[in-house]
Amino acid sequence: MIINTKTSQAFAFLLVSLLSIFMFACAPKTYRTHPEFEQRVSKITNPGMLPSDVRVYELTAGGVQDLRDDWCKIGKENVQKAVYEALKQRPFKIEQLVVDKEIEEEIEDIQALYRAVSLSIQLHTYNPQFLFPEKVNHFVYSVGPVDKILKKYGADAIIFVYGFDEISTGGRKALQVAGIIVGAFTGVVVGPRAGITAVSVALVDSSGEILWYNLKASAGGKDLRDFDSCASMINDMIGEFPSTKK
Amino acid sequence: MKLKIILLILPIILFQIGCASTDLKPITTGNFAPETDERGIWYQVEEEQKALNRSGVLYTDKELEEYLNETARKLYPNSVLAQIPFNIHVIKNRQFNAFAYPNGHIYVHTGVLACMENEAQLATLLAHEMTHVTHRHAVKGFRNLKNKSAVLATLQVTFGGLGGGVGDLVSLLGTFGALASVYGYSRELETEADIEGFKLIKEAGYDTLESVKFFELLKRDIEEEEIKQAFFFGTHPRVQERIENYEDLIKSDNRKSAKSIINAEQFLAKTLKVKMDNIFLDLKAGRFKKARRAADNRRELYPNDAKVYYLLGKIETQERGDNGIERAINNYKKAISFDPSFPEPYRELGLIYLKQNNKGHATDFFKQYLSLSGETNDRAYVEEYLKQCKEGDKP
Amino acid sequence: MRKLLILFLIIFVSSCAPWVQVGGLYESSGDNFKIELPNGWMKSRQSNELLITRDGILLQTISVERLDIKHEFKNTKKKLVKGMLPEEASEVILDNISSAPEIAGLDIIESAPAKIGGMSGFKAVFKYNTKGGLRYKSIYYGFIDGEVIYVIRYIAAQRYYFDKDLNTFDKVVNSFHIIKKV
Repeated sequence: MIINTKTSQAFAFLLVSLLSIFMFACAPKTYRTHPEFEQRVSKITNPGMLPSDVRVYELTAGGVQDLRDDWCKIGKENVQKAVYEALKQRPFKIEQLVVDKEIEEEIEDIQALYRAVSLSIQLHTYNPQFLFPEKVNHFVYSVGPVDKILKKYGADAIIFVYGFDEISTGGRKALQVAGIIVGAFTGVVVGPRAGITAVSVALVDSSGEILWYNLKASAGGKDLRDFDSCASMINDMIGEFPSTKK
Repeated sequence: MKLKIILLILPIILFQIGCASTDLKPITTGNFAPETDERGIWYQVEEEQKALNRSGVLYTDKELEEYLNETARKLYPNSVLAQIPFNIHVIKNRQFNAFAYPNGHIYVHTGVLACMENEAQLATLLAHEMTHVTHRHAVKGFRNLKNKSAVLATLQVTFGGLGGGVGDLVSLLGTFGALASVYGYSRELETEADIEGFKLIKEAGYDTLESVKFFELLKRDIEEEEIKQAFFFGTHPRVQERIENYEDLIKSDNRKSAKSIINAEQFLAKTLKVKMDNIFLDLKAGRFKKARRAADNRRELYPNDAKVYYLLGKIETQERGDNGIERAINNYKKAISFDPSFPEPYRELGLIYLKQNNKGHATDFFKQYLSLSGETNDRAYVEEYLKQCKEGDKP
Repeated sequence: MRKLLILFLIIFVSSCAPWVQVGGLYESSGDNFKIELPNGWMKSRQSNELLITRDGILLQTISVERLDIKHEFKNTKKKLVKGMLPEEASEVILDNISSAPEIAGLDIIESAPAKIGGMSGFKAVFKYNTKGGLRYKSIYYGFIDGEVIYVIRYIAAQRYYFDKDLNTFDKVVNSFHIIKKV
């Protein structure tokens, strides 16, 4: 079976439907925790944060995603900084991990699996149509053994951060407005969707299992290139991290 | 009334959306600096390349790669190569294809190398792909896509609310029209790559007649693979048209070239291994005609090559043609005669005799296979066959 | 293999519950087999074959497919033939997989005869890479029964997930039986 888990369009498509849950459900809890979260998280003191994977696209009028390397760089810096600042409030000593050649392949392997795990979590523990009751009631997902990485960096847990942002071009925004205007006359509003902003964070302990996972998404209201906008989204997300006793 | 209002609004929206320019100077004109969206494409391409490098799909043959890169370097002056450091790689794939990333990394399938006959044909391919890079076709194609899809989206917004299926019809035609022209590179960009590529091979002293032969090979491949649209070089223009384009280019080019390089000998020496490996890929894909042709060509050049006879035997066995088994047996025996230490033909003969219920012969050949092959992941099968022969079971 | 991504998207847009929880004896009179499914796993309602997963189809699947022997494979022109040796059938199946353009670095780890539900067949274990960087490992069991071939597959992410449910898969395979012999 060949799955391109990096397909940004599949990811966006998934997020569009998840957004509908976030918008119309009655403020559902958006984070997921491992059954042994309480006892295991209390043992974590210095998690390492892997370099965040943030993609920021310019979304054109015609729906074409144009990956902007300059925006990706800014988005990545903002997300990383915002997560770091938000987690500093917790009883953790966070280290930002710098990947070198020695560990690069192992990390790529783990990140490839994490992408598949993250998509599976979103589909089967968030989306009502595709819920797997066993996974909802017993949230156990793993990225496999992480001791090699933990040993190298002297960390006792890993934080994964992923970000995705679509910034509508002026043309696309004009089309959205036009859709509303035309709709006033025809009675049917046809317009392109707003760009999606989404961030997910996962805390993985030495077993490789995800202790805590959270996802936040917004349609058109956020911008990862703007630190304040990014931080408000991240703070909302990390704010839901259960209080823990040190 | 509704229509009048929509037609009033439409030009305003189109003006707002704007159109990205597809008029870009080639890198060869000097002072190249990538534009914003071009940098975004390169960034994405680098991610794609990392994935490709990790995937195990690259064909490793250092000598072959060096030769391909050496040939590519003959096509451009150093001043251009300094701006775009071209890098040619090979991909394990039996299909007749090659593609270029805008950062100068070009990937050539084993399938296309296996079909080629000489360096002049290789130069035709490389010149074409390198032109896609130097003339920035990736960003032009991408801008074209953005422009067309923007227009389409505008039409959908303005007409989508109308009744009577008007919106549906527009969107149907619009989608088909937009996609048809952006699938692969557009006809215009492919033609530019053909014309500029032709100039390059001519300047480098290659025999331009070989460029026509190259497209003849592509045409043959399309017919054999029963491909409705040419996979290679995009879908436009159609291959016969391109053959005629090259013929016209040759006719209209009055300059006499001092050289007329074909360089078949060196090309065949450097592509010996990849051609053989690609025969195995064609065999796995059940493309027996192609595999047989390639194996026959190889046998002409290397009449004592045991592996070729083994392959010919496999083709006969798997194609299941009339009298195929007899021909298979002959080929396997020839393979053994040229290299008695090559294990695989023994195995195949063992299988043939097993199915013919000739247990004595089957046993002999299977035992020889096991003694020659050492650790092999099909040992369990062969041991099972030997057991069957001993117990007198029919397979 | 692109089939699975398409399945992923089809399942996604389906309006009725595309997954149902299973466990225990599963009988398919249409495909003429019965099998014990592990408790708590989810079965796809959308797939033509029996397809189950525990964590999601990107992470692991167990599937059972029955194909007509005249089935035309997507990536190879090779054909299955009635009465062909299990090893030959295995070769056709594996060649179809390895000839898929999206498959990279296919590496056969094991190829051996096997008994499935008392029928003589094949077992093949192999691994491969995908474009997204995720590595998969797979076990295929198969056998020809008259005019049809049965294939029982376990496909899982090589990292962690493959080993995790190997025993589960073994139990599923060992429980497989044809209902009516041809």
